[in-house]
Amino acid sequence: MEITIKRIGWFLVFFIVQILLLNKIHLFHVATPFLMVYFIMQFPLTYPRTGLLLWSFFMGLLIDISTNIPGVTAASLTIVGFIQPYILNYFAPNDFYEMDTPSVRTMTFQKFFNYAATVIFTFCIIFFSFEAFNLFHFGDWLLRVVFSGALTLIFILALERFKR
Amino acid sequence: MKNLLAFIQRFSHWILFLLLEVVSLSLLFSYNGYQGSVWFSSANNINGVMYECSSFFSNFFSQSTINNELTQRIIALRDENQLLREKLGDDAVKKHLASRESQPPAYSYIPAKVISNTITEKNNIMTLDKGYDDGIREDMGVVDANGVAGIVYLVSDNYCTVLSVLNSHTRISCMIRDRGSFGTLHWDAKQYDTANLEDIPRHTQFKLGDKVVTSGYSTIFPRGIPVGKIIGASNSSDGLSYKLKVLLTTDFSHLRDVRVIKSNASHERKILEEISTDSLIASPDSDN
Repeated sequence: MEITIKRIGWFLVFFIVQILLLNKIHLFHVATPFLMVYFIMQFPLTYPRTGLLLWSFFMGLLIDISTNIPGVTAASLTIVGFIQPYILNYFAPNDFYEMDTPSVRTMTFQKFFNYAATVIFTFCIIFFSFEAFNLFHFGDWLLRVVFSGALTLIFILALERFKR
Repeated sequence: MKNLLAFIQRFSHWILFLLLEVVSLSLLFSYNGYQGSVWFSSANNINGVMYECSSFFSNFFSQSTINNELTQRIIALRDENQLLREKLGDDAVKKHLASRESQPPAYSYIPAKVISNTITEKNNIMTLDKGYDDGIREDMGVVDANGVAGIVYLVSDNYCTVLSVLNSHTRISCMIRDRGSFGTLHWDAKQYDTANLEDIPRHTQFKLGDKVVTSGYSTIFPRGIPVGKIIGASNSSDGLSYKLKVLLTTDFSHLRDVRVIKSNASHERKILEEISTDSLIASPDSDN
């Protein structure tokens, strides 16, 4: 129960920070950090998958409604929520406890980096593909995927550094 | 039956996943044509209040620069006013003002504040802090002190969203000032300070630096509101007309105080225009 309330709190924090702060960042006109992916990355392997899907869908939907592009974030974040357990399972070290929250401390830096990078770039590729549906420039798409992904990764690794 | 239940239980996350994806994708593909979706936009009350709070704080910090800009503008306008008065003579100005007061204005303005705005998406939308209760309706024009800003899209009771000029769905009828030829302003989703003026006939004469203003052919914008100036010209893809590159006068990265234009055009004109559009849609050989 306590952990669920904590999760709802983090959900709201990530949501508000994302729409009021991070969505306004457009480094070099291409890079936007998508920190809400970090929220999805923090679910342990034992967490019910339907639950994880619902968390990701509603996070995406709320962000979509606030940014006036309904469907884009919801669709891509739901896909990420769906494959997160598979990616985590693949990168988790042998001595990783299934109840553990994925982090540098529980996974070692190398494994966590691979895990984070895979999740983030999957999200960026899907997100910008959906977003580009009516106007597609390949160069533009590639720049956005690479730089937004890299910026998100930097943000998340920085946050990991400050975590206890 | 038992097997079926077991199957559903085992694959429940697959089923939920597909369901959520279908919902998201149908939102994604049906949104543009779905006018009733005001609750799925930033014009709903919760988002409105949230954005209003955040823009209050950001405005608080940018207040002094904006005040400076406004002061500069007032000084420039006062100088211009003085010059024009000297040229015309006071009597002529008074006479003109008196004649304007005697007839009702064709347009009135509703002041509003931009509480959320983007410039980097392909379809940029902004949110204003005025809605249906303040007299705002769909398809009204929005301008700021420098020029055209956008067209009202969805309206809720207290907020509305606006299709910015920087939106690939926005088209505004414009003309080149003092030369009269007109075309359609359309954004190409590249830079936030330039847009294209399309369908300018090939016999048109113009210079780089000529001013582009609204044409007033629709009742959305009155004639002569500044849009930008021409900074480049090329042929359209079919070679039948010119495509002009226009530097927009409105600074979309610092948009804050805007006015929504309420057209007081005669009811007759609106009905006439509606009937002609409807009959064009109804007639079978009109799709080109």
